[in-house]
Amino acid sequence: MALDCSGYSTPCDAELAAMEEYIALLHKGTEPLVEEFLKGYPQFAESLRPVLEAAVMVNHKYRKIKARYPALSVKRLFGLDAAGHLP
Amino acid sequence: MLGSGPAGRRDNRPVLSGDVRNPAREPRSGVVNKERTVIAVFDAEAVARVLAGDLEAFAELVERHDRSIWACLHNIVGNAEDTRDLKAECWESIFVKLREYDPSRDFRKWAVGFARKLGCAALRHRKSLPRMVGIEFVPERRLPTVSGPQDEHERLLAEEEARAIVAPLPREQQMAVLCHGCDGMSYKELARLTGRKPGTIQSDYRRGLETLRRLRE
Repeated sequence: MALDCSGYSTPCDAELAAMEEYIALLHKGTEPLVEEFLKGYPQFAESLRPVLEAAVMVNHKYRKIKARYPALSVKRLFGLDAAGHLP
Repeated sequence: MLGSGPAGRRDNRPVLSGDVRNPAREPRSGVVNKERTVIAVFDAEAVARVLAGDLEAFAELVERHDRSIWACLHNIVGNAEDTRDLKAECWESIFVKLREYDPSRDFRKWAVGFARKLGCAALRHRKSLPRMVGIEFVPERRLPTVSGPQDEHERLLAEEEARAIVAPLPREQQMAVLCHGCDGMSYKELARLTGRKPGTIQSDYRRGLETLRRLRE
């Protein structure tokens, strides 16, 4: 299904919105196949495919680590938990 | 018959009383030594009789030295229930090893040596139990609250592994990929914490993913 881009200032914003939609599905744990998802956004298929595939790959690796150590905190990793700003 | 020790004794070894063991006077060191010599002779004879098949003689040994064994075990393990179990085990070991007893040695010291070994082994076993409980039965949700050197070490390893996923990227992109893409932190929250614009962080996220994909090819 083609996306209606009329509400966006540039096509790039629509692409980013599609990317965020997929990331939101990843966070929910739905994790649809990239190809299936891109059928809904054929105009961004070529540009979004590598991004979404990378997102899936990174998420898989992160979840594996998180499963082994549930207390892992990325806020703490980047020093964002206490100071609230970059160290 | 066994009596209690004189006041001021550092241990609670029994002072024997009755016939040869009852001098009917205040025990002095010379008297105690004489008593012990006599008892040592009795012990050696009793051991010889046990080895010859007279089990009544073993009961004599138990009656004479049971309190020493009890005291030694109780001093080590600290409770009556364990002491009772270990005492039975100790006398069993003594009976089995009786052929190894050297009659020139003090039987009480030899027997108490068994008690000491058993008591220490029981104590080591008891100390190992809490670690097992910690691994097996502590609910998962409580694990993050446990903080020890081992925990800290595991946390650092996990953080290193997480950072390794995005290692080729600049720090800003690393943060965007891990905090937003993996941990689900919103751009707004990330912007508040880093003092950067949400749109910039979104661009970092996308660029980070593109770089990772490119590097993978």
